[in-house]
Amino acid sequence: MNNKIKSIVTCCVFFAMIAGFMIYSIALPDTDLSKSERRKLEKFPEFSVKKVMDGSYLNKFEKYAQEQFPFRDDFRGLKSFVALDIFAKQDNNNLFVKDDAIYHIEFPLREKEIYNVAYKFNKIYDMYLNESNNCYYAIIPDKSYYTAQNKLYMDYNKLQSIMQENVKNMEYINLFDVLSTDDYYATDSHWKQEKLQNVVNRLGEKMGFKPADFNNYTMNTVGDFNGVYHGQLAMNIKPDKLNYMTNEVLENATVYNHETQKEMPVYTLEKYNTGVDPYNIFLTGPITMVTLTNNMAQTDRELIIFRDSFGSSITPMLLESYKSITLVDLRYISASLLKDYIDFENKDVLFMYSTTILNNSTGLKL
Amino acid sequence: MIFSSITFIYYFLPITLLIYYLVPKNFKNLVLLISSLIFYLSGEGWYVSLLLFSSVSDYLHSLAIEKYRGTKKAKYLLISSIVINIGLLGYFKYTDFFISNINAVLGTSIPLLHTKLPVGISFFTFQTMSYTIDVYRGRVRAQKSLTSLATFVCLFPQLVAGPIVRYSDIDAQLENRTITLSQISYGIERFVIGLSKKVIIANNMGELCKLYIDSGEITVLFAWLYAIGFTLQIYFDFSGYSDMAIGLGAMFGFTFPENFNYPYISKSITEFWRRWHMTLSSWFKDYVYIPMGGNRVSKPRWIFNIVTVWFLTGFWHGAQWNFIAWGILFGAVLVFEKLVLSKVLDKMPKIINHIYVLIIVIISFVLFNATSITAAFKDIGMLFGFGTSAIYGMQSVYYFKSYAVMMIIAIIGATPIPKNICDKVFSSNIGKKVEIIVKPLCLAILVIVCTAYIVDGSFNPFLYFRF
Repeated sequence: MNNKIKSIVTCCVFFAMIAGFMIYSIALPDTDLSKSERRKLEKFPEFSVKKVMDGSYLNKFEKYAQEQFPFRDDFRGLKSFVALDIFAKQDNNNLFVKDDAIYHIEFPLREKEIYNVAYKFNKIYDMYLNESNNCYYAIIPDKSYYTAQNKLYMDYNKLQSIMQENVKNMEYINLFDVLSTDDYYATDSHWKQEKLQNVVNRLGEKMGFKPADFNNYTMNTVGDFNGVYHGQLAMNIKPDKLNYMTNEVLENATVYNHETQKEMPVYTLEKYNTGVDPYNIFLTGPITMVTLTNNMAQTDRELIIFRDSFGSSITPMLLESYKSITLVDLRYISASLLKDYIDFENKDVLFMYSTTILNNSTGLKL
Repeated sequence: MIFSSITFIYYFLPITLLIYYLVPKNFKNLVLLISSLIFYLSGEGWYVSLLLFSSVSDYLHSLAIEKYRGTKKAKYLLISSIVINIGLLGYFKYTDFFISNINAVLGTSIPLLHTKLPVGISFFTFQTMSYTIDVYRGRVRAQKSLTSLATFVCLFPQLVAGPIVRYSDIDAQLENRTITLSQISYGIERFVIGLSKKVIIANNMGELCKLYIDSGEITVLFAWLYAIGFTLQIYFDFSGYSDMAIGLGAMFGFTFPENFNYPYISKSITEFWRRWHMTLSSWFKDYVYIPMGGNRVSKPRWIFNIVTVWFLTGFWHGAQWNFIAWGILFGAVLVFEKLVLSKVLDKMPKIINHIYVLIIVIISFVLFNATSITAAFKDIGMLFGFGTSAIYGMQSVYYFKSYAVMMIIAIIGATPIPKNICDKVFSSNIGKKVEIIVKPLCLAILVIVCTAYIVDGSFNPFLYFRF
C-alpha cells in the first residue's frame, strides 16, 4: 500500500513539475531584456528545415528555452546558493560574496595584455603628445585587490611594474593606496563617486591642481542600485544607494557629446529607470568622446582623459580644477582618428584605466 | 538532444509521454519510433537516415538469415550484415585515423575526410550487429515487424550512449509490455538520480578538469586534482546517462540492463570490469572473446584473445592511439592479474586492493582523456612529480578548496553507502511511511536544483557522445 501511495505521489509531483513548467513556459510572454544581466535574451528561433538538419535549430531552441525559462533569475540565484553555500565553492561563475559585497575574481594577470597597453600608451604619445603636455597614467584597482588575497589573486605588483618599466614620458599616479573596498559599490564593479575624495586629492597632488573639496558639494540620492554583479550572481544581496554630487560648477557646466554632436547634462537621471545600467547616469554611460566645459573656471588648464567607465563618475569631481575636460574612450574610437577632433597642444593628459580593462586591453583601439 | 537539457526535460519528454500514454497499445511502438527519430534528427540532422538504413538493413538480413537458416546463404548474409555495420562504423569513425596513420608511416598526403561522427553510432551499430548475430545463432527470432525492429534500433532512451541493449533483452517487451505505476515511479527515480549525477556532479568535475587544462600551473596537486576529477566526472557522467536511460526505459515500459555497479569499490581490475560499462564488456565477451575460444584454448592463444578483445575495447572508445593504449593497458593488467596477481591480491588487506585498483583506474583515465600518447605520459608523469614546477601552487590550492566538498560528495556517492543508508532508513515501518513523502520531495528538490544548474550554465556535454 505504501509503495502504491509513494508511486502515485512520485508520478504526480514529477509530471506536475515537467508539464507545469512546460505549459508556463509556453504561456509566458517572451522577455526581451534581462535587466539583471543587462543583455538581450534569446528569442524564439525562426524555423527552417536547413537549420533543423544542420542541428543549429536545436541549439538555438535550447538557448531560447534556457533564457526564457520561468523564474529564471530565481533559478540562477538558487544555483549560486547551492554552489556557494551547500557545496562551499570558493566562487560561482568567478563571483564570490564577502561581508555582503560581491566580488569578481580577476585572474590571471595576462602579461601580454599589459605590455600591449604600455605599447598603445607610448604610441599615442608618439602620435599626439610632446613636452608641452603634462602626461600621467593611473591604474584603478578592481575591488578584488582589497579582498581576494585568499582567492585567486592577480599579480597586481607585476602589473604595475610592467607598466612602470614600459610606459615612457608619463608619470605614474598610484591609486592603490588611496582606495578601499568601502569606496566601491557592494553589488557593482565601479567606485562610488561620493567616496573619491582621496583619489581626487592624489590626482591633484601629482598633477598639480587644487583638488575639489567634497564638503562643498551636495550629495543627491537617486535610489537603490543593484549593480552588475548583483545581476550576475542573482543572489539576495542588499542593494547599494546610487548617489551623485553636485555644486555650482557642475550646475553651470556644459557637456558636449561628440557622438551626437549635442549638449547633454552631467547626470542623465532618466538612465536610472530606463537604461540597462543605472551607473550610466554619470555622463550618460559609454560614449566615444565627451567634453565638459567649466563655465565658472578660474584657470585655463585643460585636461584630456583616456578612460573607461570609471572615468564617467570621477570626471565631474575634477571639473572645478580645469577649464575643460575631454574624455576619450578608446574602446569605441580609434586613437588614430583623434587628430580630427582634439587639439592636444599644452593640455594635461591622463590615461586612467581599471585593472580589468588593462588585463583585457585588446579592445583599446589604436 | 541531450537528456540534461531544458528542451528534453520540459518539452520533449512531457509531450512524448503524454502521447505515448494516451495512444492505444498497438500504436505505442510507432509513437516511440517517431519520437526517437525526432530526438535524433533534432541534433544530428541527415544522419537520421543512417538509423533508418541500419534498421532496414538488419531487418532484411535477419529475415533472410532465418529463411536460409542452416545453409551457406545464411552465413553470407550474416557476413554481409556485419560488413555493413562495421563499414558504417569504420567509415564515420575510423577513416581519418587510418588515413593519418598511413600518411605518417608512408609519407603520403592523402586528404582527411573530416566526417562528423554521428552521435551514438558505436552503440547502435553494436546493438544491430548483436541482433543479426543472435538471429543467426537461433537465440532470437527475426522480427517480422519493421516498426518493432526500428523501434528497437532507434529507441531514444538508449540510442546515443547506451547501455548497449541487445534485442534479446527486450524482444518480448517490444511485442507486449505493461506499464505499471510503480514502474513509472521507479523510472522517474532513476531518471532524476541520473540527471543529478550528470548535472550536479559530473559537470562540476568537468569544470575542474577544464580549469586544469586551461591553466598554466604545472604542479603535482593540480595533476592529482585533474586525475581524480576526471575519474569522478567520467563515472558520474556515464553512469548518470545510463541511469537516465534505464529510468526513461522504465517510464515507457522497458527493462534495460544495468551498466554500472559501483565500479570504484572493486578489489581487482577483473572485478572493476565486471562493474564498469557492463553491457559493453559482456558484448565483447559474447561476440568476440568466446567465439575466439575464450579461455578454453592454449595459454598463449588465451593471452592473445584477451589482448585482442581489449585492443578492440580501446579502439571502440575512439580512433586515437591513447584509446588503444588504454585498452591494451587493461588487457595487460587483466592477464597479469589472472596469471600472477590474483593470488597475491587475495592475501592482501582489502584497503591495499582498493588502492591498487584506484591507482590503475585513475592513471588509465588520464591516458583515456589525453589528446595524445605524449600528452598522456606528460600528465601521468606530473602525478609523480616529473616535469612539475612545484608540489602545489596558488591555483591548485584554490581549486582544491573550491571543489573539496563536491569531491567528497562524489567519492561517497560512488560507493553504495548512500543507497545502503536510504535502504536502512526506509526499511522500518516508520521509515516506509516517511518515504512516501520524503522520497518524492527529495526527487522534486533534485529536479529543481538540476534545472537551476541547466538554466544557469551551458557546460553540459556528455562524454560518451563522442564514442
